Amino acid sequence: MIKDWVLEELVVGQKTEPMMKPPITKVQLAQYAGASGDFNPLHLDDEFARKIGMDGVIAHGMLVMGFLGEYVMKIAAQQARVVNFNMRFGNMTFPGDEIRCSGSVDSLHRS
Amino acid sequence: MDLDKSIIGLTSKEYVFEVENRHVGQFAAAIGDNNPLYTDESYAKQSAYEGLIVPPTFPIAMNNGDVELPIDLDHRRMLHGEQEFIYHKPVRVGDRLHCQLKVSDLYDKEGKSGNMQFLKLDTEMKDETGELVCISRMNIVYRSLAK
Repeated sequence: MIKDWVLEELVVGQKTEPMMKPPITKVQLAQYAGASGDFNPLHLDDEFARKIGMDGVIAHGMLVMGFLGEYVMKIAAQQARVVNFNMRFGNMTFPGDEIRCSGSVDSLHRS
Repeated sequence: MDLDKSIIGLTSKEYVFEVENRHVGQFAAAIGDNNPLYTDESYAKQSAYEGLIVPPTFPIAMNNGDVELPIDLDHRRMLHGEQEFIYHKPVRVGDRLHCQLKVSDLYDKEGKSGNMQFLKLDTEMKDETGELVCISRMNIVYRSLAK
């Protein structure tokens, strides 16, 4: 993270300290299914996933966006409100995968 | 069958969603997000939010499981390509939000494998005074099925 940042001291191009998540587990996918209400068997049932041509279950894309949300909220800390938060889903994520979040300051403006 | 532009503007029935402490806790725990903004009242009071909030992706869980649009969508063709949350106000435990799903756009794009359709679905969430709190925007790729 950028520790104790103030807007005036941020510079465009500045990197934020990355965050490493522990490997995704199948138990976590079950927890996320329950909490989010997304019980698509593609995330829970290996047999079902194999039937539709996957090697096994894949993680909910929204779980991975949840990781990114955790990171964004850590950066915003107590100083800022997150008003707009967007993610494009680029690739599938599997149990055992370790997600690393990183960031940089792209632009600064006042409104 | 491709989707027709006439579906733009169609909405689901409005539903009321109550944000519960236990639900928010389970959601944050599944992600492994232990930010004190969701649990520590005095920490949250000193923040820009001036009180406890929910994780930023929590609105995705704000469905009661039977929200439906008055159109037939083929779920096998739908791929969640992009997700956006637009916050006008923070979402907090105890909120009773009036939610409605809406088709906000449909457009075509020429892709590698022919023409692709993109569907934009917004869930608008308003508080009890009718003020907009949050929009959860789902961008869906509506693929052609392999023949």
